[in-house]
Amino acid sequence: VCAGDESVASHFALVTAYEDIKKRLRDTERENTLLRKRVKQLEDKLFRPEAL
Amino acid sequence: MALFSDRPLIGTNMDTSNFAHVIFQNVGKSYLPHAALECHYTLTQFIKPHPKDWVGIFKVGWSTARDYYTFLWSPLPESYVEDTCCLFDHPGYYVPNDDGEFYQFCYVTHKGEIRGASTPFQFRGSSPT
Repeated sequence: VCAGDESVASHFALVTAYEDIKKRLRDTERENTLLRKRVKQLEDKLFRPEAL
Repeated sequence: MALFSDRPLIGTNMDTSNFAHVIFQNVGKSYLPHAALECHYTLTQFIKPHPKDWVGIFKVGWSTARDYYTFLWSPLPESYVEDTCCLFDHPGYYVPNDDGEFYQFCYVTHKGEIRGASTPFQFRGSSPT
């Protein structure tokens, strides 16, 4: 195997992992936002019921 | 990201690339450390399996095929289209602990050529998905 091929393979594998982790980060950030909203709603319900 | 945008060749030719001749299936986002680990993959028509081909677990960012964390010889499949499964379950196989790192499976031929890489996964003690 020539070293160039291995370096391209290594780069390919890293791109594969990078793209997937980037997508997971987006999904996690979206879930984070939803959870923040939900916590806020529940806090409002508990501590400021008159505001609802 | 700039790191990858200057290498468009790889990103656009993924399907026809030598590095996608083995397709890993149903790879989880995480696995329990120290538990048996099943790895499923499909050999495409572009690869002729050899008894000395192997599947390794590599830490993401590896640079040579020698950087594997652990490996198994790939079982010779019945046919090219069938799902092939190898099981990392031998007590002697040293599978990574819950270390916060990302790993991936890679299929390596007897000549040391990488023919497939999976999506990444972590080893986590709780709530595997």
